[in-house]
Amino acid sequence: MESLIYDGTFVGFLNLLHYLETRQDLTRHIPIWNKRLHPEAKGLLFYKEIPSDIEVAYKYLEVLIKLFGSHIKDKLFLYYLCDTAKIEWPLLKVIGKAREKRNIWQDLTDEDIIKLQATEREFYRERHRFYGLLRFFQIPEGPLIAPFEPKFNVLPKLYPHFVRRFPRENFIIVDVRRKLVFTHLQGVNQLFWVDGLEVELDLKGDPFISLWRDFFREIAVPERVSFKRQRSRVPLRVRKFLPEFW
Amino acid sequence: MQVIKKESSTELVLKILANSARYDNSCSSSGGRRESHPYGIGNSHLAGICHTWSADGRCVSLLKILQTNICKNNCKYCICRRDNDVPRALLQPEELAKITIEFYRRNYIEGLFLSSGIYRDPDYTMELMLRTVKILRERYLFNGYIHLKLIPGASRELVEEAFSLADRVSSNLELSTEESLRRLAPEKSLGLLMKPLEIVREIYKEKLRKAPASTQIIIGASPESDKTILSLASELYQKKIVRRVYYSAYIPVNKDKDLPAIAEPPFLREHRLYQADWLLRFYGFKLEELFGEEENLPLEMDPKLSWALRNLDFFPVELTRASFEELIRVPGIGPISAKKIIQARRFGELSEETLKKLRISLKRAKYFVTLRGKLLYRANRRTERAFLNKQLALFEDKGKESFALTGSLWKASSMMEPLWDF
Repeated sequence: MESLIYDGTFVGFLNLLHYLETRQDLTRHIPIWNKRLHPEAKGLLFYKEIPSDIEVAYKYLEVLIKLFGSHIKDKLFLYYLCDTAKIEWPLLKVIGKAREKRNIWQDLTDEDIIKLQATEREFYRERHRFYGLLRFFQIPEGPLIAPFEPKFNVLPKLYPHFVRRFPRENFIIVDVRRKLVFTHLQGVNQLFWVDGLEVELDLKGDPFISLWRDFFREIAVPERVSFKRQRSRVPLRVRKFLPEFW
Repeated sequence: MQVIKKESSTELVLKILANSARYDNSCSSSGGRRESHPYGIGNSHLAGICHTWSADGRCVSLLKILQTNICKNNCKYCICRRDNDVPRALLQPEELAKITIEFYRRNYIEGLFLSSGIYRDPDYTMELMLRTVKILRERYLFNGYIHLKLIPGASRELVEEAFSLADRVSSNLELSTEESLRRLAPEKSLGLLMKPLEIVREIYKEKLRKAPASTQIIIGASPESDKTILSLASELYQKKIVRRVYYSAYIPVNKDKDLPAIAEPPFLREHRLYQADWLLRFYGFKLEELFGEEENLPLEMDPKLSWALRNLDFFPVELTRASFEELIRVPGIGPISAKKIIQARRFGELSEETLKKLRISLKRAKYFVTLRGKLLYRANRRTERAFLNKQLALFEDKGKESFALTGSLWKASSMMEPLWDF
């Protein structure tokens, strides 16, 4: 069975939507792979790689903006960031329906809208979770560094919070899974992909880790201990970079 | 008494003081609109950020710590009471401020929650705490969240200063009656504990809003009923003295003849009180509505379900027509589900399918609602019968009469099927 692969960028995502919409056959769901999340997808036998053509993306976006207004740009970007949710097909269906019925985006009874809205909520929940669960580690004589592995690509919507919070700090946030890096050094912000990111950091050398771990242990009320509740709040997937769980 | 000396390691002091602070419940960051210093560190605009969850499953958002656990008071329920032989320590303001900043830079915490035992006298303790906060605000230009406990008996000037530096202040009322306080915390009185909150209220009066203050009441250390506790809370909300009342189940840490001997802490009762508190604040319930003839909330079911079973004439609620206020009174439907229902009604007819798609759980609500006149509850299902019988058993004979009456009323109004056949 044929699969489609795009490069994991927003331009690639728009090209993908454009390609699928012009095919006009939305009933046959072809598997879609994001190369950045699934580099192994290139090993598939039958696949078609969607080229990332910036002009196609720009034109497609312009058409959609003319149809639905400028807010569609932010919506599409948000759905692009929900990269593990597999919402390309519901999104295409909604775009198709929206050509007939403009207020479909608010229609909570539509199955595809429900899917999109649920994903949107999940995205913001994930971002909110990392407002708290992102951990910075002090590199001796260097900046603070925060590696993390979110479920969705939340970094572009997450970093403004930390820029506002630490305007004078030098810090780096790394989405380890997507190899997306944000740097805030000397007040300059940059967000970029880093292919072949293989940095080994001694995160355990931070002197405040042991103090934090002590505090974390002492603050729990023994009579209330419930690891089940703790696990439901801090799933195992996010514990890798939380020193209190090491 | 073992007092940890100044030169002791920060680790040890932190452990002792965090351990002593852990029974304080009111430790959430509720956000704040404090003006930030442009070159400072941090902000407190967002509420509800949890930085981790401790082994007890509770959110850790602030560095919850005591300035010192040395205390001249002898409250019988408190781990820091004067008579207890526990290690004592004092964290110097500079040191505490430094730890706070370093924790904050690493995003371990959202801010500081600072309380203290009463060391020497209330003013001295309050000054010590204020010094910590001042170092944070003035030396480190810390814009993050600070919750400061007001020390009962501290002078008005210090309370005012604390209020100007912190995002939220609180003073624990501990117990809800004067008599209980006299018995368990002889150095305290309701007037003394309430005073700092009243000062804060006075400062905030011009704004006609609730003061950004909170308080905590211990549940189960004294014989007060839920009604007494909630009426105190309700009064505090009405007079806009506090924004939030926290309830803390009594956990026996000391032995004393005046303390109740309990097998396990009343956590479920604490939970029910929080639910009732929520109903008072966000669901438009009045205190009298939450209680039948009993003085305590039933433990077997949540207060909204209990109210619903006592007020069956209010039901069934028709989902296609009910207002937001009516919908949120249905057990199992909260403000989020109610909003979804109202929004979905604008786009066409509601159906069971739509409700499912909207992820509105009808597990409990189905007994109390109709959809275009049709009941969502199927009376012939054995499990649901069992549910109803269980609920009925809780209400003894009186409740059954009420059920029977309402059942026939619903039948009379040409419902598709009778709800209950006794």
